Parts: sequence; structure tokens; C-alpha cells
Amino acid sequence: MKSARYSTRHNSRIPIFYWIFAAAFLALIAALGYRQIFLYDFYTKRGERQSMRRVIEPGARGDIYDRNGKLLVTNEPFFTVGIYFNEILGEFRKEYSRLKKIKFDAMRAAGETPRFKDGEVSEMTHQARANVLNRYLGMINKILGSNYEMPEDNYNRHFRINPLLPFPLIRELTAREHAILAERIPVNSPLQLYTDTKRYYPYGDIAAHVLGTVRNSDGVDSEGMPGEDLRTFAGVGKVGRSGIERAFDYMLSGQSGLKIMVVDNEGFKYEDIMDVSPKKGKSMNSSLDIDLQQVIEDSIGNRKGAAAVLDVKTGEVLALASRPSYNPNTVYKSNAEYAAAEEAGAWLNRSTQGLYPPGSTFKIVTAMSGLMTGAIDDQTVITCNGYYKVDSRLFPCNNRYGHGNLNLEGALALSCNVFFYKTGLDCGHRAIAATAKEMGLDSSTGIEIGDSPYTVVPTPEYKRRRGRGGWVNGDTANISIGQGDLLQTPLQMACMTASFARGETRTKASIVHDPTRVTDMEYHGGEKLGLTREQYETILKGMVLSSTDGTSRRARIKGVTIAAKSGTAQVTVNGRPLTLAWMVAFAPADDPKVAMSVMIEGEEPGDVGGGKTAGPIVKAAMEQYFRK
Amino acid sequence: MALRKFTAVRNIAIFAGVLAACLLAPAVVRHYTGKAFEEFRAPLDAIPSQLNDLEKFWDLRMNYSKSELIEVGRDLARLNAGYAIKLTENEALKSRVESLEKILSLPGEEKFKMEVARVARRDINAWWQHLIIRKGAAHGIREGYAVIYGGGVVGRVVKANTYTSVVELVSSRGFRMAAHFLGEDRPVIYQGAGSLSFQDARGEVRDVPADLKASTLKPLQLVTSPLAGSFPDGILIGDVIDLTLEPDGIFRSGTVRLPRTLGGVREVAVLIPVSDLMEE
Amino acid sequence: MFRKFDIRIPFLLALNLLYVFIISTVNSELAPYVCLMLPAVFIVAPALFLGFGGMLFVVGVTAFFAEATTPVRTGMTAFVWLLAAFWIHGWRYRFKTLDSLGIMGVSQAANLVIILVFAVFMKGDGAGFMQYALRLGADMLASAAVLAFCAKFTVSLPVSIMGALGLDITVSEGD
Repeated sequence: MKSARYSTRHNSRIPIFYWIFAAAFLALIAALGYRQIFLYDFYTKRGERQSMRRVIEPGARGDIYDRNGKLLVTNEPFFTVGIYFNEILGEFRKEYSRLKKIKFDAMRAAGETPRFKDGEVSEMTHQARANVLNRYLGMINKILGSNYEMPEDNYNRHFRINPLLPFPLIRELTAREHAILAERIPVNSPLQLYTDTKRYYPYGDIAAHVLGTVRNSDGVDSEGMPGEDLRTFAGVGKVGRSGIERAFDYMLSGQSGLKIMVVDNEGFKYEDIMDVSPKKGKSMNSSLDIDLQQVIEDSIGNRKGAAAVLDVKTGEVLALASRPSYNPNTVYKSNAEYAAAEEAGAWLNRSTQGLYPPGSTFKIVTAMSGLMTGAIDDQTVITCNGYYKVDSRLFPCNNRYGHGNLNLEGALALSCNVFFYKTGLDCGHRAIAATAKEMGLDSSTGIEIGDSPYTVVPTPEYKRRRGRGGWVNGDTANISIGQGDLLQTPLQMACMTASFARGETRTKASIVHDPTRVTDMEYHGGEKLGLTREQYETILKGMVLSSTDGTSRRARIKGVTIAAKSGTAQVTVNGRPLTLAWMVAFAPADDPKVAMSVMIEGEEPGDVGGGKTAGPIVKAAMEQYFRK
Repeated sequence: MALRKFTAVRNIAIFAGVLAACLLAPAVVRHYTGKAFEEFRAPLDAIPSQLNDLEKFWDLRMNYSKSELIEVGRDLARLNAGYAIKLTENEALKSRVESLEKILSLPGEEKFKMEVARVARRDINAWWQHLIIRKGAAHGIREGYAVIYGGGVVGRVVKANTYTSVVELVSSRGFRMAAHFLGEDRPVIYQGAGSLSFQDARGEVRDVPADLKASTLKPLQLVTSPLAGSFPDGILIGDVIDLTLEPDGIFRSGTVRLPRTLGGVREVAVLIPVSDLMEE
Repeated sequence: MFRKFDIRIPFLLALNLLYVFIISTVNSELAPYVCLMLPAVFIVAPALFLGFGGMLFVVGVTAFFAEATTPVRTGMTAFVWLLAAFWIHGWRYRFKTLDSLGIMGVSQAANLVIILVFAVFMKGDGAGFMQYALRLGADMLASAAVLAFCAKFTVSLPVSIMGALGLDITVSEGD
């Protein structure tokens, strides 16, 4: 028998296995080399993306001031106590284990096999988190002696979407609560006190429409920030919703801050790599004079109405009032207040978006049109018997007994309809429309916060487009006295008045205060009025007479000569006839500095009148302006 | 040889057991062990302080003549008389404030009783900043009570043993409190700046409204706020000579210079809320 | 271990408590500028002169005593000091001659390691890492400087006192 010996003879099959293993090993080395050398960048970046996160913190918005440096809108800080989930992960796990043990022990006691059914793991995880958070909330309640409940914010959603940001447990702590928690919570606790801001309007509902409000932004601007390819969590920023807040959002918006951090395999913070603080947005100086604004809004009171006051030379808007108004500090926090604002129609900015027939204030345009076409001159006298027959209809004057013989000055002072019916019919509707358009009454005022594009200077074409047939003389008579299809905003009428005061055709309104701005005729984009000196003086005298002895006499103030024109327009709203009280004015008449328009909506037919209702508001505004 | 091996193994086992006991003993055991050693140590901390007082007494007796001591005593008596008048004025002011609070239905501020204690020992290092004072739970002192001295705030009681207490200093990083600037009622937050080498103690103030400014020529005085209820209003914390606007533009923050005398404080007063006394 | 009453145990314990008293008094005066951290002073002599059990007892009790009134977790100081003591006790034969350089060397080494262990595991009181490092560095330098002078003293003092009482105290021979 041959002894079993280890054969050392060469086996020809063995090298084949060597070559196979060598080839496989080479392939492995090649693949590894390829990944390490050629795909190095790719995997490095992927590793970074997996292990790094980016947190973007929106910057605070800039402030808004009035032209005298008074603060109109700012950020009010409020304190929140929140908790960082990554610092209590261990507690979540511990609580989950405890709940699991209780459940499994109960199952064993009941003779069941301890295991989870579908969905129970998730439920237990949520319960564990809720228990831990409630424990911390309980601790805070014990310290404060309060009874706060878990916030409505879904903490599970926060866990999923924003785990690197603190979860707010109690928002808007009072100063006392903040002080107590600052002293009693240990400095290195997972509970942290941090500040957040909300927009604050120190003047409440004054100038609410023009200042505007903000809303939560849909995203945070992160353009140009490093870490674009990293998973990003962002705090909620604010964006302008209306008014100045919206029009100047690009300027007021703060610069977002950035943190890049390394996270662990569960996505919770391990360490900070980059930390760039957010920056506050730029502040804005508005042209408003808040004291003047307040006086006007107080004068309007609880009525529905609007007013616009402009600096005649620069077109800067000194006041832009709209009532009823709302308090932007509270209206979005209280359902009752929101509903009340809704019911009162407070959302509408009547000064820039409200469309109304301007009534007798439009007679300035009719007068200009009459003078420029030669239909009338400064010597023209028309007899008013209290009515004027146009075709087969009798158009009434505001004095049913008639004014007697009036020239243009007298007609403006007493606001005689008959004078202007005749003047309008004599110069023709096209001339009136042309003058109105020259004065900018069919286009935007240029104000940065935007105004209504739907102002109407009616023409036959307009009437035909509305399907109301051809133009008739009655239409001309109506627009001559500012009725009919004429629709203007109070701001538009204020601009028209300012333009007339300067002897030009256009005024560019601006809500920005810029003392360095050059505001000549080219800036405003108009031309010289097509009136001679004498013609201009005639209209001016008529307006001055209106304020001293005429229908606008309630606007009279001591020491300053005002040129004014009142108006009382009739409208039908939902089948109900209503009256609108108007007044336009500028002062001083010989060297105009300020121009304004006021409009008050009546509630019953005939309850308001231009002189008696709008006059006192103009008076109060002028007194306030010239007091300064 | 075998005995030596056995001894070595036995020693290692005992050692491992002792180490395990030090690290892993139940919280209850650790608590009572710690307490026992604290009470045992308390006299040791109190003794140097008492010896110091004795030394000062003999120093006065030996190095100052009788007439000098009498003169100093007389000056002190005059000072005390002046303070007694001020105390009477304060009492009148206090009752006036109370009646005004009643009329206006304002919540009254917490009232305090002062328990004076001598400082036994200072314990300041890279990890904590504490004072040990010679009064404790037996004198009504509890954890969380405010501690002040003639120059302002000292800190807060963090541990009250029977006859001694541990006070966390106002300069400690873990010390945080509500405050406000003198002449201003908007609250700010003060926090200690922690241990600094060879520098005067400092703190930090933050959440300062952006419209406030401070400079070396016009420093702002930071004082305690009564909002949290642990300190009365108006006790000096320190001076702020510089306020920097935070990048978010909402608040300012700055450094608080704590009084130099804080480093050498010998006697403090623990503020015991009167409401706590009444509960007892 | 406890066959006969060893007078050295209460003696060294009393000496250690005296050191605690002196060092805390000195630190009280030096605060807040610098803090002397000298755990080696309490460890080296008992580790060299006492048997295993005696060393455990003296170092352990001193540690508990020293950490009373500090915010350190009860038992933590004892844990660290006992580890150091155990290490020195294991090497005690190298220091049989009680030479100055050797004693200072082992004291400095033990002191440094203990302080670093605390530095790693304890939360600093500084506003930032730099302040913490500066403060700790200053304290460690000051402590090392003082230890350079007093390390030998902590070993020679018990020898001198015991010698004056007619008792012998040398590096422990066996456990």
C-alpha cells in the first residue's frame, strides 16, 4: 500500500485557478482604482451631501419712516422658548424603549407574542416624542405657573422637515415669562430662548393701506449662497403683501443668514462648519407726514372715505388716507377682527383703488376746456334759472331757484351746474375728454404702490363698447359737471389739482421721500397748461372765491388763502342712490405748496355734501400742514 | 509566589470594585455620600474665614491706638445715623409705592429679607466660579436665592447645606438673569462671560434694544430686573461701555464690566423672599 | 490588609485634609486670577507609603472631601485620583530613594494627566474655546510651578514628622 504522501507533482489544472483568481483580483483592483481615482470627486461630493446640511435663516426686514424720521413700521422682537430635537434624541429613544417594554410586557401577560402590528411602530414613535415634549412643556409650565398646551405645529412634521431648527414650544412670551425662564432654565439645557420678529406698526390703523402688510414667504432667497447642492432647511421669512411693504420688498427684505453643519447618520447636528449671520434689510423713508395723516384720518372718523395730500412741487404724497381701516398688528390674529374688517369693506384702499364720479370738482377741467376752445372767456355771463334743457330733458342746477347771471368766477365759486352744462355742450365732449386726458385723468399717477388702471374719461367709443348705444348731449352735460361714466380715484384728483396749481398738465405721485430729487416739468412728464395767464387767473379766482364765500367756505383757514372746489356726486350702489362729498384744494393760492382731494361716501341720499362734509376735513388738514 | 498572585488579583478586584462604586453607585447613595462629606467639610471652609476675622480684629487692636479706633467708631456711628435716616425715608417711600400700587391695581414687587453671611472661601477655576458662605439652610437659605453685596450683585445660591451655602458667581458662564439699564425699563438678558485669566470679571448683555448706545464716556449701568422675582429692582450688576449692533439689526449686545470689588468680597447678603418666609 | 492598625493611614489622611485646607485657602485668595490644581499632592505620598488598602482609603476619602461643594458628580474625583494612585503605587519601587527629581517628575506627570482628564470631560466655564484654553493653560502653568517647589515637600514632610515621632515611613514593601 502506498503511504499517503503529500504529492509535490505539478498539477496542470491548478495554474488555471491561479489565473482565474488573478484575473478576478485584478478586476477588483481596477474597479477600486477607478472609483478611488476617477470617481473621487463624485463620491466626495456625495459623502458631503449626505453628511452636510444647510440651514438658512431669513434676515429681518428694514424699517419704514415718515418724511420727518418718525418710525412707521419696524420689527418687534418676541421671545420664544423652543427645543432642539438633536439634543433630546436620547430621551426620545429612552421613552420609546419604555413604551415598547410596557406594551410587550402587557402582551406577554395576556399570553400573546410580543410584536408590533402594522403602523404601531410609527404610532409609538409619535407617542414617545409627544411624551418627551410634554414633559419639557410641563417643566416650563411649572416654572411659570402657567397652563400652556402643546402648540398646534405638528412636531412630527418638524422632526421630518426641519429637525435642525428649534421646535417652538411657547411663542410670544411675555417679558416676565422670558425673564423667569432666562433665570431658571439652565444655560446648557435643550430648551433655548431665542428671538423672532414680527412686523410692528406703532400707529396702528393709521396709514395701514399705504404702508401695507406682510405674509409668510413661500421660500427664502438663497441665490448665490454656498452649499446649493446640500439639503436645505429654511426658517420662515416675510414678504410684502400690499402697499409699501410689497412695492419696496426688494429693498426692505433682509439678507438671509447661512449655517452649514455636519450631521450624523440620523440627520442631526454634529458640528458647525460655516456660520454667516443674517442681515437686516434697508430702511425706507416714505414721503408720508404721519401727523398730517393722523389728523385727516381722525377727521374722516368712522365714515367711509379717502383723502390724498401732495407736495405740489415734488408730487410726494404727504398723506394717503382710506377709511374704514384695519389694525395690521392684530387683524390677522383675531378672527373677529378679520371678519369685522371684511364686513366693513376695510381692505379696499379707497384713495388709490376706489373709483368714483368726481362731481363738481371736475368743473375745473370743464372750465379749462371751455376757455381753451374759446367756448367761454373771462367775461362770459350765463343766466341760471335753476335748470337747463338738454334735448328734451331738464338738467337741474344745485340751486333749484337759480343763481341768476354768473360769470366763470361766480360759477366756480357757487358751483353752478347750468353754467357748466352750457359750457360743456358748447365746447363739446371731445374737448372735455381731451383736456381730462391731458391732465392725466385716464392714466396712472405713477405712484410706486400702484393705483387703479380703471379710471374712466368717457368717450362715445367707450359708451359703445359698453353696449349702451350712441353718445347723446345728455352725456356731455353729465360729464361737464363730473357725473355720468366719469370715474376717478381721490389720488388722481389730487394729482390733477397739484398739476393745475403748478400750471402744468401732469403730476407724478411718489411715496418715496427724496430731497435730492430734481422735480421739474420733465420729471412730472407734462406740459404747460394751454391757458393764458388771464384765463388761469380767472379759474384761480373762482376757486379762491369758492373757499372764501362760496361752496367751499368751510375749508377756510386763518392766514392762508386756499383755492378750492367742492363737489357732490350722485351714484347708485346696488340699486340705492347715494351721495359722494368731494373737495379738491391747494394752498397758498398765490404760491401753491400743498394740494389735496377729499372724498366721503354717504350712507343715505343727500346726507353728505361737498362743502359741509369734505370742507371741514380739508380745513383740518390745511391747519395741520401750515402749523408746521 | 501563589500568595503574591492571589494578593495581586485580590487587590485588582477590590480596586475595580471601588472604581465601579465611584462611577456607578445609585444616585441616592451618591447624594447622601456627597451630603455627608459636604457637612463634614463645612467647618473646614468656615475656619479660615473665621480666623481671618479674628486676625483683622487683633490687627485693629494691635496696630491702631484707642483714640484712632474711637474716632473711626464715631465716623461709623455718624454714617450709621445717616443710613438710619435714609432707611426711614425708604420706609416712607415704600409705603407710598404700595398705596399707589393698590390704587392702580398694579401687582406688587416681591419683598425680601436680607440674611448677611461672611464669605468662607472663593473657588474659581476653569470650570466653575463659586463662593462658599457661612450660612445655610439652617438660616433659611434655599437654592435659587439671590446674593448681593454693597457693590451690587454677587450671584445666586446653587446649593444650601446646613451651615454653608455655595453661591454661583455673577461672572460664571452658567449664570443668567433678566436685567435692564438704569433709566430704562425694557428688559435685557445678562450672562456671565466665564473664567478669564488675569482679567477683571466680565459678563455679556444681549437683547438690548437697537436704539440704546453706550460709550466709555457715557457708560450705561446695568441693574437687576424684578420681572423674574428673584432679584429686587435696581441692584447694580455692572457697567456697559460698548454696545454692538447684531447683524440682524434688531438688538445690540455688549460686554459688562463687573465691579472690581467683586473679586474681594468678604460679606454678602442673601435675599430671602418674604413670601417664602410666610409659607414656612 | 487590615491585620494591624497602621498609624500611617490616619496620619497621611490628616495631612491630606490639612493640604485641602491650605490649598483652598490659598486659592480663595488667588481667585479669580489663577487657581492652583494640585491633586498630586494628595496622591503621591499615600501611593508611595501606604499599602493598597490604606492608599485606597486615604486617597478616596480625600477625593470625596475635596470635591464636596464642587459641582463635580460625586465619585468622579475619587475615580480619577484612585486610577492615578493605583498607577503610582504600581511603580513605587522606582522611587524608593525618594529623590527630588523622581518625586517631582511623577507628581508633575500625575497632576498633568488628572487635570487633562478633567479638562476633557468637564464643561468649561469660558465664553468660547479660546478663553477656556487660556484659563486652563494659566492654571496648569501656575499649578506646575507651585508643584515644582512643593512636590518633594509633600513626601519629605511625613517622613520628617514620623521620624521625629520615632516611627519609620518608607516606600511600602508589600500589599
